[in-house]
Amino acid sequence: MPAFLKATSFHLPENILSNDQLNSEFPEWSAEKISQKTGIYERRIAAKDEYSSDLAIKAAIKLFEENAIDPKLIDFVLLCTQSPDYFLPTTACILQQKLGIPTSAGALDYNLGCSGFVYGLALAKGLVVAGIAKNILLITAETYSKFINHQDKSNRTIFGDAASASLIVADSEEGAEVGDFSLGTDGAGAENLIVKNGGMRYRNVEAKDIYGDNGFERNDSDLYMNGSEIFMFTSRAVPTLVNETLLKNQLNLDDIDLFVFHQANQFMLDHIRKKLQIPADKFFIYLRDCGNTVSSTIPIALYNAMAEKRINKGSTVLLAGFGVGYSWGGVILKY
Amino acid sequence: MNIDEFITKFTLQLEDVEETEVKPATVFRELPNWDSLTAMCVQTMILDDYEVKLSDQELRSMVTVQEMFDFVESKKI
Repeated sequence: MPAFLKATSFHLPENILSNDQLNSEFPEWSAEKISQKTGIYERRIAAKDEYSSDLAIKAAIKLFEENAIDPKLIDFVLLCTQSPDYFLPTTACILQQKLGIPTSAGALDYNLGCSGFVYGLALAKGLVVAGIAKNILLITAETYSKFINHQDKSNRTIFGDAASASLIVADSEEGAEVGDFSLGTDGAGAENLIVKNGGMRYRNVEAKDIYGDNGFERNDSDLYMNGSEIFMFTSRAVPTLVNETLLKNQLNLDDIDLFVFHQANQFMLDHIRKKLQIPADKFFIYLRDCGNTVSSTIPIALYNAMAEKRINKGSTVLLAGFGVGYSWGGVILKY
Repeated sequence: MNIDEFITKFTLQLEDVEETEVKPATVFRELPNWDSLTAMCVQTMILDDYEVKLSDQELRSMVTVQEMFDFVESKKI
């Protein structure tokens, strides 16, 4: 039995963090240099009292409205987030109630970052193929800004808050058939992208700002990313992931009409694209007005690629998500 | 491995490839447009082409391209 990604939408919070604002706080980086290297002109930041569930609800309502979807038809909610409202209950339960989804629906959160959308498609396809659910609402929602240190120039430049909502169904005339997956994990990279404190292991630890040769380095209560380690990981893992995904779906690189990767930043994407020898016109980049929104980058890119007619009926699209964990996943969408 | 080949690969990671002459004694941090992103590309090239991991900390202690080459040569199996 096949599964289909029927529709996708997304929501960005209102507050804008511009390159000019970043430049006024960190004068060593010009606004121009930021946009040239990262491909990002602005990112959206959740308000002080705005949390992942708030963004998730808005994304889901937008999905329902744009596609005339009745929330009463939803029989499973999957929420990908690493910044949930609470430790417990699972935020997906709150979404069920607030979105008017029947109490007969299943709901759960799962904790993944930049690979999260592809994993969500894998879980949703599994539920459909096993006959457990028919209409799955897959949401990705992050407010990384809440655990990024104010002095952390790199992470504040790259990451933005957002949520996406998608519907995965057993049968559909619209949208895309979800193909075969290639997934992978390497926990050896755990410490290179981490919020160390706050979980049970380091629950109430008083953390200090640590400074190195280039100024602020880390605070273990906030997001830490070792940029060069992540870059090296990505440069190694993604070409293999793309080739494995092609192999599993019995396709060649030339068969793909559009590559939609996790939108980490322009610099990294250009590097991977050249390494894989993917022509620029088959490689979608969408970072301009939202930055790296973690698990929402791929659905946001899909939405915009469709709006720009870069994806049409008949298109074969390769998705690749990779990052924190380390965790990675690829899949083919056949529109 | 020889240093000329290493320098060719190193130079390809720089932004102004054509205009920059790199020698073994070049202080890489003083190259035009050298920044943390260029450093990441060099680290990735070393991992890809020589199977050697050069960490940020190890890189920080180096000054010249020759030192970088010597490190890679000493670690290469």
